[in-house]
Amino acid sequence: MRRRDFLRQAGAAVGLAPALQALGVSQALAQAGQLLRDLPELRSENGYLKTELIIEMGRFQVGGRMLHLPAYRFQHMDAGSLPGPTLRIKPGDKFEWDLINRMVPTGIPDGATQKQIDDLSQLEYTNVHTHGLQVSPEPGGDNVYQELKPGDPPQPYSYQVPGPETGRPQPAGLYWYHPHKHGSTSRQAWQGLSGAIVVEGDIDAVPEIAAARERVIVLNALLVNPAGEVPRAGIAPNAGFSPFTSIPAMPTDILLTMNGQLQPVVELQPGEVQRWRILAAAPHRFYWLEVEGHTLFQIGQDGVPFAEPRPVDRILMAPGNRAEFLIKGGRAGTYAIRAVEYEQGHPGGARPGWIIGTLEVAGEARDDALPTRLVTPPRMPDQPVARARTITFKGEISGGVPKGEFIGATEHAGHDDTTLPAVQFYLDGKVFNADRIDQHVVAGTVEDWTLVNEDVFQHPFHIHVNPFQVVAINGQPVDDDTWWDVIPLPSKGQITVRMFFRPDVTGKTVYHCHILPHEDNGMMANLRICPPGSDPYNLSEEVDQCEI
Amino acid sequence: MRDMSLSAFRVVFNAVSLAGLAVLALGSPGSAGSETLPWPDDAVKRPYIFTQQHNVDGRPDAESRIQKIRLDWPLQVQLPGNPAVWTFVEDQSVLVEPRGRTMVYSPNRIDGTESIFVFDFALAADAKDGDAGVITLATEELPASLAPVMPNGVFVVKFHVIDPD
Repeated sequence: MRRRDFLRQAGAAVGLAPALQALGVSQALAQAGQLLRDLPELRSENGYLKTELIIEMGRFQVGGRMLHLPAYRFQHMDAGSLPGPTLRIKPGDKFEWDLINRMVPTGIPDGATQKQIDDLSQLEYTNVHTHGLQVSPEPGGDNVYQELKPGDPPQPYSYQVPGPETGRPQPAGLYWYHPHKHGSTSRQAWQGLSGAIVVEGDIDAVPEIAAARERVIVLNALLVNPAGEVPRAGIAPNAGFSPFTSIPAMPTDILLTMNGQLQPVVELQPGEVQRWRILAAAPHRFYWLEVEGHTLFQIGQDGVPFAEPRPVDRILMAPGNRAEFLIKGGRAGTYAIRAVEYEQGHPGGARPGWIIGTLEVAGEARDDALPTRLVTPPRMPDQPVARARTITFKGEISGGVPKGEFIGATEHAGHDDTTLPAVQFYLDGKVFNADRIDQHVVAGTVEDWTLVNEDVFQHPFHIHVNPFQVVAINGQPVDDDTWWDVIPLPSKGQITVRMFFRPDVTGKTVYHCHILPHEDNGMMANLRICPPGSDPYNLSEEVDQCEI
Repeated sequence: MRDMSLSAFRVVFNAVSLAGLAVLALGSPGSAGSETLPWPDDAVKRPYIFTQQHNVDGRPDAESRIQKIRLDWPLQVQLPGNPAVWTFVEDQSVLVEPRGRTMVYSPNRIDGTESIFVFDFALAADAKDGDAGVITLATEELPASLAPVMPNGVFVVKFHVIDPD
């Protein structure tokens, strides 16, 4: 991307930067009520892109507060961005980045000893996951088992995005990148470490969409103490607007931001159609999203476009979900963009409703057209179901159960065997163990997985590499061709999903709850995708291979 | 259960509190690890929130779990209950003043509980830098799910007041 393009994308934020440099602000962000900013972008050229993905500390003004957070930037940028910059690629592209970790410890509880600080050092370890991209999970690819400590040499990642020649190209839509170091994922998400990946393709050629002003909107929830830092401590759920307290306790606020801004204003003309690509990057909060007085014409879910727009009043977005829709300006006026109150099972009842932004409809009236047809979405292969599995989700938040066999956040806290973890979350009764293979599957096959939720928490199921379709809810068949890579499970209920493991991607990867504090505290498991033709079905979980 | 456990607790607490003061007076090894960052003067004063996971009663590591509380900041305790009923034990609490109690519906999150009891506190008006404080709550009835984390039906959090300003 040319530098002037970058500056144009960064828009007013960069324009404000000089005045705020004196305050130590590395990226100027808005006070509540400022116009929604566009995020910086980087685009592949001639099928290739290479950059550095650098995490370094910055000070960010969000609403009336100054936050001290790590932030992503690409190699060509002068400063980090909260949230991270957007990557634009196409099916068939190869892209590479070297991850560089310059995080420093922040949010340290008052009175912490050096030992207590050292015991939590893994909270600054990181890696990067390309959520939703159907790319190899092997080492050097979308491998979430890697870890990068602050000051380590850059860690290279390389991705070959499936192109048309594979027969199943990466669908054109919104994906994202974020840290996925087990035990550190949720804290780094509360720090806002996330960025959008836009895959451009067939749907962008639909004339009405091509003509529409596009907005990439990243929703974050920043859990900060009065110093504007994310607590560097264990956490436990509580009732109230800020849903977690730390151990040791410190006062916290939760800031629900759009593109790093508190309650920004989005401008739209009466009758104008805009395309909004929304990413729910908050680690815990569900967004039951609505724009007052406006229908949302949804055109894609989790990166996969629809055959035709689906008009809806609200869209439920669990952590990790993406929703893309067209919105047509109504009569001139001011309308709330809301995260509607939603009962997701958290202690203390429904998460409260919140106005996350404002839509300002003003200016000259027009009458932009909405499309009636979009593209042909990918189809589930017509082949028999090779295997049916059942996965059970169960959490424990009493603080009163012994530590299970797992590598998680409480390991970081330096607890010994005489103490109890604050919370634990299980898949099939087990907490995460990186050395165990919980499921062996075969690439090129179709499987049905029934996901049983024994909790009131609506655990959002996510699996890496391959998306899925829902075929039954609580045992009742459903006819819905939507593709998902995150689906919230009903409270005390179950969902059956059908997955096609694409034949050209094999390796070891994970499935987990995308409420990231649940994932960090055990609710993740390993999946070995074996080559087509292999027969791993009778292998035990100790065996990380594909043949007996 | 409450009387017996409180008696037992009182003995333990007295020993622990003396030890805690000694640590304060002598300084704890390695305590130079963190600096105390200033908080903005105009910050909205959200409470320090304590849950059952913060309980130190009966914990072998209680001494390493003494909280630091900044002067003038509010405190809140949230404990799962109903049918368990939590009450504030004033004579086992130090340096805090109760400011209200409520109960939030929270069914099926923790076995044997239907609600969260929420207690609000303020530091005593004469609290000052270096003072030691305690909040104690107790229940007659304790569901089995909470017995491992609050084995005596008692919740205790201990703290020292700091005044970075």
